[in-house]
Amino acid sequence: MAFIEIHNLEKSFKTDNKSFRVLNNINLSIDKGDIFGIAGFSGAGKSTLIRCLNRLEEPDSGTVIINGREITSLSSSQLKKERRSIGMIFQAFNLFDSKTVAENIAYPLHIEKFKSSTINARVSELLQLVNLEHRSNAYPGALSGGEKQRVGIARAIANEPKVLLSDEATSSLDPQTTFSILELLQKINKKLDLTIILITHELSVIQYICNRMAILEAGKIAEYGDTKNVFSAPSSETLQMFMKVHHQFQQQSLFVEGAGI
Amino acid sequence: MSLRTHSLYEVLVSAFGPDVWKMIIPAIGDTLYMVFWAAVFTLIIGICLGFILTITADDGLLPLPLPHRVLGAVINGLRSLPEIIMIILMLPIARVIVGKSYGTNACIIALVASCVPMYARLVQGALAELSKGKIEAAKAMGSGIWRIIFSVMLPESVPTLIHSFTVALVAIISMTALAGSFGAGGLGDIAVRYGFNRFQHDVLIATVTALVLIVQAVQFIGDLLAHMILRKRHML
Ligand SMILES: Nc1ncnc2c1ncn2[C@@H]1O[C@H](COP(=O)(O)OP(=O)(O)OP(=O)(O)O)[C@@H](O)[C@H]1O
Ligand SMILES: [Mg+2]
Repeated sequence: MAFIEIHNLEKSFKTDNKSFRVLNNINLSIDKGDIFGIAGFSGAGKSTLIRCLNRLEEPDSGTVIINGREITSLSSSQLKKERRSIGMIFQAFNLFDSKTVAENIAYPLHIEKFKSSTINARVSELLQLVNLEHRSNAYPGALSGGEKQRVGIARAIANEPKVLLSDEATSSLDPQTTFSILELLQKINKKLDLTIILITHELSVIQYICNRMAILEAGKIAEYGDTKNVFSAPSSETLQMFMKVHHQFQQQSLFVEGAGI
Repeated sequence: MSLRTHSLYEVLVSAFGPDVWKMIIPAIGDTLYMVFWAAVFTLIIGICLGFILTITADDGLLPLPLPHRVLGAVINGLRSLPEIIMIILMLPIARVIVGKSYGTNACIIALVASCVPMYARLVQGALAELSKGKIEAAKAMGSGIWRIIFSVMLPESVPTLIHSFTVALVAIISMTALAGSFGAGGLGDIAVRYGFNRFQHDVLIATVTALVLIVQAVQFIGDLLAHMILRKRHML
């Protein structure tokens, strides 16, 4: 059995008595230590899929198993406990503006009711891991996007989760900051043996950091496998289109350079 | 001193003179007493009801459609009553609670009853401004509902809550003046008894001045507090 298994996952949304199927028979298995990328067009259902993994969204049917625990059959109090071992980071960071960096990172540790000395020690360890020791007493409002996401990551991994879910965590960051966040993710993936599932719009993100990937197309897995294999023979319309646009941009930039202004 | 018998200058001098203020200052004390207690109860009850409204909504932490709709309807019903009717309605209820249907304490009950529905809606509005993402992040970390309320929703919305409380407080002050004419005492009572019934325009001017100053002070302190918190959080 793989570390994360998703079987026959289905999800529909109802709007004006019309049911709209967003996830259609999703099956995936993800191994421990994978950095698993999911890409697809806007509205393909990527966020819905990742939110079904910690049940921020309730799937209609199907099962999600993480580390041998069947997430989809947990009671709400069991789910609350289980969520502490599933970290999540967001495009909008979702930090608490009323708390300092250190307090944000300590938040999940307070949920576990650790002693305050334990919490303080763990917080400084995490601050060091994400290179933010000097910002521990700052409020999120005073941080740059990259710093905010590093706080988000520290907060998400504070309780030493087995899995980290990332919903477009770098989509609002500039390329350089994106790169540094990806490096950080790679570092914690190795150091903590953390399995990461990340959603992105950018193929380069997947190529850079993901060993395995899936393409989601209108709620279905269009293709899925090792990143290298998928990119060497893209079979889905989505990926072909993504790559075409990618190339167009590159050619465009060559053209501008070639103009020699 | 009336404008019918004295010049405007004389009335103004008297309005800011010691004789009038000997009467106004104790009335300010009564008014502040009523405003203070009405504000305390409005704050507590209003925040509770505002949270209940938010949490029991369909997209809330604990959706409870029926209680949500009932509470919403009651609040809307109470809000649609003109303040003066509310005061008249509350007087017999005040008799049950504080033993008499007149005086400052009875007035506080009427004030609370008419301000709570407004403040509850303002609190609901303040909470609606909170980003869904923060609450989702808290949920994703395994927070229970109480922790989300006390460690996330409440502290995150403090600046907006202060802001809307200032609005409520100003309404309470103006309603206190209104209730004054129903035997509650305070500045409203003075204004009606001397300013209106006896044409003592100097007293009227002094009362208005005192009310304006109180409202200004409340607004200033509220704005300052909210501003300070936002500044501390680097959100300006
Ligand atoms: N709570 C909801 N109620 C109704 N429809 C929803 C809801 N959440 C998502 N949807 C719909 O489900 C579809 C998939 O949404 P989802 O957010 O999963 O897409 P996505 O792949 O993450 O897109 P993006 O790249 O823009 O983030 C969209 O058509 C969206 O409108
Ligand atoms: Mg999305």
